Amino acid sequence: MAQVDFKNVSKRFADVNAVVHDFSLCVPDGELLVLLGPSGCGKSTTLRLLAGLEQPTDGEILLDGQVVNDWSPQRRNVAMVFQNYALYPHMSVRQNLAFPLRMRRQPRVEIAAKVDETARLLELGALLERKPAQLSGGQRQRVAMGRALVRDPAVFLMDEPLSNLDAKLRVQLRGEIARLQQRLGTTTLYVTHDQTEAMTLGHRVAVMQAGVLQQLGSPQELYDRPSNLFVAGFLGSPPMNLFEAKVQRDAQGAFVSFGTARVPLPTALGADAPAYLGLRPEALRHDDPEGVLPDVTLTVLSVEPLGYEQIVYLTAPLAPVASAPETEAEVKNSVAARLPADYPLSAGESITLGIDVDKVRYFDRNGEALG
Amino acid sequence: MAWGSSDSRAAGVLIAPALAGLILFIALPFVLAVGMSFTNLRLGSPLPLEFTGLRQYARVFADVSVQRAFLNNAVFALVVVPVQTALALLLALALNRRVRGMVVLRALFFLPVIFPMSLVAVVWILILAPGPEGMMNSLLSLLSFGHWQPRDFLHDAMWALPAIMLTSIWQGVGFQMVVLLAGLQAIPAQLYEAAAVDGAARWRQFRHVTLPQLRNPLIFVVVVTTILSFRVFDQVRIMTRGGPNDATTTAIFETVRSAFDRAQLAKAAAIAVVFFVVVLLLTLMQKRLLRQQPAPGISGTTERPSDATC
Repeated sequence: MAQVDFKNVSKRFADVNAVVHDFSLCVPDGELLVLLGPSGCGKSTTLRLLAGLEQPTDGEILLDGQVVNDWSPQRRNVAMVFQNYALYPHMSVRQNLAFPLRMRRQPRVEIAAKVDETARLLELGALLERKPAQLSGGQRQRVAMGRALVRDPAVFLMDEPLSNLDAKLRVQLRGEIARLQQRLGTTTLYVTHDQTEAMTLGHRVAVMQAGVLQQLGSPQELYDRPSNLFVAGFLGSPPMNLFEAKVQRDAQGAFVSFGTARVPLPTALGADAPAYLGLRPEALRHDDPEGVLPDVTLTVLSVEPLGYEQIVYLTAPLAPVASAPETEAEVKNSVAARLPADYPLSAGESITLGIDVDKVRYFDRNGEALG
Repeated sequence: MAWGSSDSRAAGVLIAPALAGLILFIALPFVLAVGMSFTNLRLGSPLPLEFTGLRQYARVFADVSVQRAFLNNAVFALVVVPVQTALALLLALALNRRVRGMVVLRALFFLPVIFPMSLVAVVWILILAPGPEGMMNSLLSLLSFGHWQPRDFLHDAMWALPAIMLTSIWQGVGFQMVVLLAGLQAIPAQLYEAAAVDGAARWRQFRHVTLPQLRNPLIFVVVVTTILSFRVFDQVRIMTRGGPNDATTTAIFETVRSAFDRAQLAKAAAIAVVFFVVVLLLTLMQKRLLRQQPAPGISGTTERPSDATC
């Protein structure tokens, strides 16, 4: 059990720009914190810094209030699950599980008891005498988990532990990890690039980009109130629609025109003039018969039926943000709407949608969220 | 694949030259040697050729020089194999670093391997030259602060075999180093990271990750070196001619001496057959040792679920 603190931690490799830049974060005891970001954003390096496999160039890393910068990985009592498991190929499952305990010179009887207990917890009992090469991907993943939790570590580190598994197994093991962590209450840092994993597992999620922490918050906070354009465009599938906003004024106050719709700026923005406007696909509503919401008529470009709902891509009435990340070709110059599947739409049709003005997000010139 | 398909006919044509060479130059001479070993064949002998059964083998096993030869081979192997392997492992560990100029160092240690043994032997005769002026003698004198009495290593019954061992180790260690270095570099770095996080310090990482992962290259190196130690000939022929007083004679040297110095072809054939059996046993041992465990690799990369049916 432990609290983890990063204080202004930076990591630079030789001549390259900082891989992790001025990273500060506090993970309270027992929390499952997810580090989320695209590949190369520095999230794995952050994890390795905590494990002691890398040394920070600047800043301090604390475990339970103690600076551990100079501590070897052996001394830190953190356990790590690697992306490709890193099981010892020449050892049986039993020996793999016992290894961390043997390295800590625990008595044989105790080791045997703990290995059996862990095997029971992870349902590895039947596999104890097998070698890693004789296991399936999911089984190896479980052994890697077992090797990490067999010794009651202070902190659990998981580096994309599910990314080598197929989709179905991933969902199943995701649930198991969540249950295990809840049951053991061990502080856990979980690295992933998969936003579904982050949203479902994380008590809190830290979004990273280019070595910089972008936003830290509960999954719902991140989704509802992204702190900048990157987070807005990274989370959600499809992500938030982002457009350049031109603020206009009339007798009723400041507003942005979205096609024919007049979207009034919330008074909370004060004097700040937004430069960008963001709309989650579900902020475009078709269930507004009374016409309470400002509405806009758009042409359907394409439809992605998903069974219980459909993602409809419509002509964009505003210029999309050029640098919006994760923009698929199809989404370019369009606005995505999440609509119920109960009425059929096809390309070329026109449709009138209401805009849920409360769900519109605004960002300033630098891409930071307003309001 | 059935014979007669065009593929196998093409394959037959393509391997024919190699197969012919193998039969003509390896299989046939060996069969002849086995046959010869049951006769009394001598070059230029006026006696008629007779089938003598196992008499040559009886002679071989009773021959003090041949006994000494196999004993020397065994001593040579017992010293050279562990020493050379350990040295190669140390070198490989020392050179397995990403430092500038490491390639040059590796090349330097590998260099003796590409020299012909005859050349190496001649150079070492010079190094081991008798008298205080000899390089080895003066080095030992320097290291012992003048307490070393100069010796004629190659003509000293006690020092001749160690001198040849030293020459062989110097020449052969580079090859083993390269094999072990390749083995070391094939060990995934992540295993060391996992071991470090699991609490294993340097020495225990070496014991629990490096050594088990090097198992197959080590077995390969040990077996090849063992076979090579039984094959020792060049150094002996050039440096000591088996002397002094059979102190450095070896199985191959005895075979050559019987066949070409004494014209005892049948006896030479018998020694060769015994030698063949010894080397064959060593090779079989290698196969058995290697089969006990599949080639190790990182567990995540070989996608082979246990219930695969292929």
